[in-house]
Amino acid sequence: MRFFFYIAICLGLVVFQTALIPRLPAMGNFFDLLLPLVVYLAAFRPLHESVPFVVFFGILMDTLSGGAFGLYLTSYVWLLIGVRLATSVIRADNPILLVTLILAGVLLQNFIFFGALAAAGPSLPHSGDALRVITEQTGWVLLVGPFLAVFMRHARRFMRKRMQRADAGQPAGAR
Amino acid sequence: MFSKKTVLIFAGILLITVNIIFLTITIRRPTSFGLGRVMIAFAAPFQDLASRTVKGARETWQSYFSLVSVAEENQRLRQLLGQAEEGSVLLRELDLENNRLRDLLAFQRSLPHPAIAAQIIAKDPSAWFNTVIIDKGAADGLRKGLPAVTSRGIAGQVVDVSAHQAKLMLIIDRNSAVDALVQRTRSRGIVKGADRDECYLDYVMHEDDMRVGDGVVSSGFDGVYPKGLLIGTVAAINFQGSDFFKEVRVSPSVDFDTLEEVLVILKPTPRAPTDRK
Repeated sequence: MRFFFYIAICLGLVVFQTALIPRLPAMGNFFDLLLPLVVYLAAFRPLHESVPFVVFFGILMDTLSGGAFGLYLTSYVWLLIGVRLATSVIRADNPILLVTLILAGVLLQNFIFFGALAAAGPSLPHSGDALRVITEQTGWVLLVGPFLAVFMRHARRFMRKRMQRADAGQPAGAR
Repeated sequence: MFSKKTVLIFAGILLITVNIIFLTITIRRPTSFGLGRVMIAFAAPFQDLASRTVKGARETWQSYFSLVSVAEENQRLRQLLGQAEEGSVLLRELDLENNRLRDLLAFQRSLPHPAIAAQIIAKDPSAWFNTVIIDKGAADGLRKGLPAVTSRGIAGQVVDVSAHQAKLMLIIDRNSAVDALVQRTRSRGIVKGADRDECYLDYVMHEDDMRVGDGVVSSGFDGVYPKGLLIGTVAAINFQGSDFFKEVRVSPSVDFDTLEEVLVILKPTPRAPTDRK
């Protein structure tokens, strides 16, 4: 069930990001919407659950993007590791931390893409263009991030309650 | 003298008789004996009040139902209007699409190879790369390396194919390169993607004659794009005396922000397609 849930959310976000956002000129440089999902999985879900999905998201995005295969996967996996490390020190429930983690994810992803472009050899983007893209994405994170953080906390509580109910419904021997 | 029973019988017969006589008289000559006016004056205000109340209630009731039906009708008309507006927008969209497809069709006839029209269904999720997903794939005869064009010029080339969709790398992608000629002077160079709005014509010798506004077309030497397809126009030329090559900025002829359909040319030049990714 959880498998289909995450896949459905992932597909919804991907469709929104690739088919709807490009038609909205004001949202041209919106940040990667899967980053908050990766942050959520990394911060609130166990590793054995988050890793397969993060890898799946990375592969899916890499196949849809024109960049070298593995760029998204790299950014997601490193974000996963970073978030796990951060949440081992600070409480993940903190909304400011969540927004910061999303912002860090956006910056990390842009850094990886920029590095890949530089390493690949073709002409690098103008610094002005790069700065504009990063600034716009940062702006979007600051604008939307707090709502996402609140939503993540609710989602976490909801999932926790559901799991508790599921545990309570199971016979003792089955646990 | 008379028993009580006899008196009661007698009184009863008298009452009936008087009653019959009274009725007989009043039937023959209708009259209220002056009481009518008084009684009417007494009762009429109440009747009037009751009548008005009932009438008011009935009118209110009827008005309410009328309002409800008007509101319903209003809602229905609004829905109809919405549908009509939606239809109008759809028609306008179809009209625009029709015009674009007519252009593509006319352009397709001018191409040396068969081509298939494809619609763009998604764009690159990243801001750093410029690829699109189109709704035609291997099942439609697409394969890696096929060029995609529009009536305005070259759009890009197929870099990945699934059964029913394909990924197209646009010429403005940084990984894209098109062998090109300046139309007027036949100077040769490589058009490379740079940004969402522009490309660069690299390897143009410093002595080559070139002006802003010159058309840049595909040379056909790269084995991907047929010769003579428009790429764009020269937008700016930077050159310093010591440079070996000119830096030429090219403005693509295709508006990639509004690109919705492309033609994928199915049989390009026979050389093996290059995978530039």
